[in-house]
Amino acid sequence: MVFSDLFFLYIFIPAAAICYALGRCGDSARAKALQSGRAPRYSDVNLCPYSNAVLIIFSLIFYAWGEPIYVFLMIASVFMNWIVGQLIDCGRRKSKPALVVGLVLNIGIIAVFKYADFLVETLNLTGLSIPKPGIALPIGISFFTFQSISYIIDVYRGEVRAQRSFFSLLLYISMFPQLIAGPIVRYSTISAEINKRRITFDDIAEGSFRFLIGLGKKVILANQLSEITSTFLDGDFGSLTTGGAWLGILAYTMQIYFDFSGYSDMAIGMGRCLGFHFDENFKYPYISKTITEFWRRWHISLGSFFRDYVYIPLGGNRKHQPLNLLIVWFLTGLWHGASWNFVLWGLYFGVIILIEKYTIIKVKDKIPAVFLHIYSLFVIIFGWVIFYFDDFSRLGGFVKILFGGGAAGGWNLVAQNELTGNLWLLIAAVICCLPISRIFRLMYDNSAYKGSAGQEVVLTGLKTVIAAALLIVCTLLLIGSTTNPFLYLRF
Amino acid sequence: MKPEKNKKYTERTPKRRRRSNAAYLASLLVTFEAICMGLLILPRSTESITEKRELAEFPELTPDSYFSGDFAEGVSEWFSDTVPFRDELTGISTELRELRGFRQDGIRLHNVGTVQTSTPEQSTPEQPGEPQQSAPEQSTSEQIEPTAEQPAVTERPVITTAAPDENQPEKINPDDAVTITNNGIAVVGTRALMLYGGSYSVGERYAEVVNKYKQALPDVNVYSMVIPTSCEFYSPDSVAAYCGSELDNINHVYGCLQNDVVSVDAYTPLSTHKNEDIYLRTDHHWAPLGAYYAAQAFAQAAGVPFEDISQYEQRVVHDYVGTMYGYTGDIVLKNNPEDFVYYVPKNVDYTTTYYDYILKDGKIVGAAEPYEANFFIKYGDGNGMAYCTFMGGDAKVVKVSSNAGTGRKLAIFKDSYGNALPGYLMGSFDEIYVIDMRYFTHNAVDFLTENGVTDVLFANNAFHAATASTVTYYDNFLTQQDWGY
Repeated sequence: MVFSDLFFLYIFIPAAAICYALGRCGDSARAKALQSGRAPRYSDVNLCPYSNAVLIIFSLIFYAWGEPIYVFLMIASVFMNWIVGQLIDCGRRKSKPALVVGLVLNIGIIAVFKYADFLVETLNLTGLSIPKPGIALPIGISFFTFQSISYIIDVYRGEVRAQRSFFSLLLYISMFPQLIAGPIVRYSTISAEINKRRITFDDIAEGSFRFLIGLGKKVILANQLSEITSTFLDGDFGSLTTGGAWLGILAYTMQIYFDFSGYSDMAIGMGRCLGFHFDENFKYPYISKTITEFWRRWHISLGSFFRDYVYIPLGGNRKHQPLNLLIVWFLTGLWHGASWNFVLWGLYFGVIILIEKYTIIKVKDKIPAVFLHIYSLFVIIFGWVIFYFDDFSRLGGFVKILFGGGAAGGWNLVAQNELTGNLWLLIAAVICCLPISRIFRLMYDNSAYKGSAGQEVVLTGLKTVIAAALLIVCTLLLIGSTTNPFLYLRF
Repeated sequence: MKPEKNKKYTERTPKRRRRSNAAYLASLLVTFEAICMGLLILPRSTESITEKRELAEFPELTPDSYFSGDFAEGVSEWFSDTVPFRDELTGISTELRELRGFRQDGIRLHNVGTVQTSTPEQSTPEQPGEPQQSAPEQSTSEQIEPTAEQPAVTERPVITTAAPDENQPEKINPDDAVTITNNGIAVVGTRALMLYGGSYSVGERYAEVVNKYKQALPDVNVYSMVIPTSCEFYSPDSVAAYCGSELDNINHVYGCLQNDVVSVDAYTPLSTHKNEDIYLRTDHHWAPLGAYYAAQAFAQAAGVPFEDISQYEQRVVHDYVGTMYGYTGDIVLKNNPEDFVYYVPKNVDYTTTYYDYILKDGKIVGAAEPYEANFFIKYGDGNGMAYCTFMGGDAKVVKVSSNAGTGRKLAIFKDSYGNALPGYLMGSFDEIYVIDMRYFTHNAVDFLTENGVTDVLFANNAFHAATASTVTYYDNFLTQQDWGY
């Protein structure tokens, strides 16, 4: 099941919301009973057992909807990590062997279910002819396995206590807002909220608005941009012009941002409505001045995962930094998919970040910002070219056309038609890549009527109109559309 | 949290903030519930008139369908596909999509130049799979006694048009697109044009199979009429660059026909009358008026009488929006419906007998009892199925018997373009058998012989004459054994 699906929006969400509200009522009644009775360790008591149960059930339904068999793999993975967590945290000293076993098992799961075919294909390049296992990729395995790894490492490091309740850990891993496409939520971020959380009007208002913003990014922007992408990047390169190639890759650049950040917005918004506060995953990545900055703004939860669990343990900046960087970026690329183009894409960024450390980073304050933006955007966009094509011959062909080497020339009617036919969409998409909310906040702060009752009414009215319009427009655009999966579901 | 943000919230009293949020949430909830109730309570759509298809059905729950994920996927698809008032709502969403940009010179391309698409006939729900049965043995039919005057075999004409404009961009070589017969759709102004991408090689095979019919039935007059489509006449230069030349392909097919097969030039009369409404703007078919001019060319080639169009009763279906809206979702087509004008003969007594096939998943599984009914089926204004006015569609063999008294019997092997022809030929032939290229369960030679057919016309549009499956179908008709119904 995906968030941008009418069935999810109008069947799953209402059903989950009603059951969750009932669960919260049950929790409240139970909490009152506990307060009035003798409850010596009140702070340790799970104050949300009913709502947690509802959330687990709906999360499993959500996952089983798309993965009726692999849902058992996910549950087994959680169970294994729960045991490992207990073993690590069972004595005074944390158990390293248990951690190692846990890491091996988690990496083993992802290696078998995500990389087995890739591994065999690579081995076969050496002349072997091993048959491919053909194991289907379980949705979201990269996300829930990484969350599990972060959990057991954090337990080992003593940053969090191991979760005693299997169901609480199952809730942390399987929670449907973030289960299949992130963000990669750290256990420490929400561990306190698993057993005790408040949900205020603010939470629901902010969460629902954030969800609708994400839905709009996906349905209004990403889905429409995908048609431009497909026109130029999926077709016959014999008739692709240089202008068309640039238009196509620009559209993809924005599509993947709105697709993925839209999903993250929806996840964060739903989490907030349920009483959980996830960390941000995107911070306007396309306004970056350097690639180093870009990766602090793009898929933040993945970048911080590799920083905290790979880069720093390897020695970070202290020893053999270049090698550490290349290892991290090799793994970042590989995480995105079982294909060499993703590895190349990761290493491409690794090398550029390495070069930046010794060049641009040192002098960036002296370089006009506009040049830095142009440089960064060019590197990012070219990166998406590598990312898009897992067929190297098509990748080569596309790059050739991109730099004027195609047979179809520079511009044609198809490119013209896509440009003019989507001009307002493209302009809107560019604007939405910018931090416009900051601009609105600045306007608000400088307003003479700031904080007045009149302004409150106007702002609330505006917010309501935007939210309702997003809901209606997205619903209309989703009618009859049966396949609009999120790009990051395949990672 | 940033200091500005804190500052902002400290200036909003909690009470006022709660009130604002309550108002916002109440409004949002009302909107959400209204949509939700609409989706859950109102009757769900079962068919789409604009897309001309049955909508998804609720999937069957079985262990297999559940564990394969098909059930869940099917439920999501069903829920999304069968939304109440689907056509009306998708009309609104199409209007919304139009806001993405603007049309330069009134042109909007749909899958042109880059993405391979299917031909219209392949997209229709009635499209069958490959013929299910075939008889490998070549039939050796009885010789048919000549019953009609043989048209004189003359030197084959080459259809020519005005000298090409030197400024016009060079058209693509049809052989560059070997397997593609469709280069996408261009909406030019309010007219949709399916762009031609046919190949010479398939055209040669098409001509060969027509030749085979003549070889199998030497005493029967065999005609081939390859019908040009609208893109040939209405593509502006910029669009024509993405459109192969139907004229070149038609000439090439005709050049491959053996001398005793008569090629019928529909191109010239259609070209001459291109300023009239001879093609539908919103549909991939020609208009009945275009079929009239082509039928006239055929009647001349066959040497049979032919009545002027003034002798027909003109009927109109107003506000017609055809298949091209479903194919493209282009709102300009929906907002600019056209009149579907057809012509009913007044001076001929005729009866139409239908031999309908029963289809399952697009394949023939049986045949209904023959019955007599009207040849022309009346559709109301605004009905997007109006092209089915002629015999109600394709999945059938139709026999039209008339009081023409010419002693000639015609069989038309056709695609859906050919459906519009028999109405003009009822006064020219005593019997007309209308056989669709996808639906025929008899051996063609036996069928034609047993029914005393004197003339066989292959009437297919330029796309189908360059589509490999067309050749396969017609080839199979020659060799297949009778299916028994």
